[in-house]
Amino acid sequence: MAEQAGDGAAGAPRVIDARDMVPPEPMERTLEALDFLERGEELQLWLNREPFPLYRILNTNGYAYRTEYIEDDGRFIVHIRHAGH
Amino acid sequence: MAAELSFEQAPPLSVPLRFFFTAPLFVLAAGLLLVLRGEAVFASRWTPEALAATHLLTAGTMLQIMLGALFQVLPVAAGANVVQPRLLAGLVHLALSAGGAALACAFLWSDALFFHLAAGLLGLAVAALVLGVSAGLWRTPALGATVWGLRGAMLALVVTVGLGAALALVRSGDLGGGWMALSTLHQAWGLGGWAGLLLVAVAWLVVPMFLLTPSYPLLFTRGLPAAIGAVLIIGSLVMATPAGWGGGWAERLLAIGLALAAAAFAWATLALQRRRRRKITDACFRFWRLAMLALMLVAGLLAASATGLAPDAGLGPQLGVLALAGVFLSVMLGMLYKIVPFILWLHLRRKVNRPPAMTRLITEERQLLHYRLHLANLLALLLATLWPPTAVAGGLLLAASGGLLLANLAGALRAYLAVEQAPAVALP
Repeated sequence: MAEQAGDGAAGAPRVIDARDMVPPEPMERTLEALDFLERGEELQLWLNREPFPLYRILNTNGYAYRTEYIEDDGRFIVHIRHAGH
Repeated sequence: MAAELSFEQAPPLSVPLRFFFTAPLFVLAAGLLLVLRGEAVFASRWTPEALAATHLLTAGTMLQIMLGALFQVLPVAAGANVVQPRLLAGLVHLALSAGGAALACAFLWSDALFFHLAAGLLGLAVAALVLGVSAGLWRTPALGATVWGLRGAMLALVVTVGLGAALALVRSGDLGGGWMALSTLHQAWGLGGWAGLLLVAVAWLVVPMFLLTPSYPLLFTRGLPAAIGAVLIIGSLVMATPAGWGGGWAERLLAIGLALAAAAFAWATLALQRRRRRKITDACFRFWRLAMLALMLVAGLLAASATGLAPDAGLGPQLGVLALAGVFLSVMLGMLYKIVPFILWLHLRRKVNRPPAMTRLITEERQLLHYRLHLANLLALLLATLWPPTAVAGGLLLAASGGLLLANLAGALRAYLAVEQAPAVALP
């Protein structure tokens, strides 16, 4: 399962499960999804590692993110929103 | 919008590429040396030709690729910025290239001036690198086994080059005695410490990332580098005692300790590869599998030499071929074919909205061709350790391997430049 669209306005976040993708596909999918990210909406990126290059791009382009580590399955969840929302 | 995103913090393209494009020249030089003086290279590990060939592959090829990758990996994987990357890479690359060439000349001509030059230039390259990356590497907020492995590898590199400089001064006649012990430590710290720690630290990251395997067990990623460090430090201390010096205990401890670490890492990696999530058997996968099988053989030969099961004389060249060409060259080729297109793709994204797929920059067919050439090369080199007249074939194949690497990298760069200059033009 690569990408699951959320229910939009209902508040369920759009999720990109990039754990089975080979670089640079995770970044490619994330940047594409950012094009359609509405203010107030959240995009989640699931990975087995921390995406440092992506952090830089988010920082310098007006996005806020928070990374959560799920110890059970070693998954990193990057929660991305427009900064200030 | 994607094309407008800022990628300013990624190191400039020229920083890693200058190292990656120089490395194949050292492979070519090593191949040429084998063609011209192959019998002397494989006669013993201590002939000037064998030492020159070894250092063309280590101080020349491996160090170029590993330091080039470090400039890229530190900001990307560890969140550690490098001070003045363009200036630092320029200085390190120049000193490293001239130093590697000077070292090969020094061995071949037993010339004190070249030994002094090599020690000074390689020392300068490593000192500049360590100064430039230390702040970032020690201050990074990133945690995890990769960062600790990279720190350990940097320390081991300093020890390796320090011991190497001392050995160069012994060869040039400035220092006396003790070269056998120094040489054992130089090899252990260089291959086990610097290259070995770097290999495992990078593997924790790239094996799950590019081969889509499960992650290495957390305890293993912490324990293995610590164990390698402990073996190196204890072995070096034993070597410094009078009993260790004469009795061969330090050599045995280092050989058995590093053999166990090598076997554990190779076994763990092969086990992960069998459990990969997507059953793609691409060139990168094959290069890694070959490297790990070679590492198993290295572990076996090291243990056999330490326990006295194998006659010492013939082991040197076989261990050298398996470790340098079998393990490290295999991994580096596999990784270069992933990393270089990835870097080019990252930079293309700055300029082009929809850059071509990364896999089109160096095709899978070209990578597989190189894998097969490399496999034939490895077998030819192993045959040459048993029957030196076949060294010419091994040398020709090694030179061809260097040439193919250069051609493939140049092809990827050409494709990058074509898209960069004319975004509308599709790749062939």
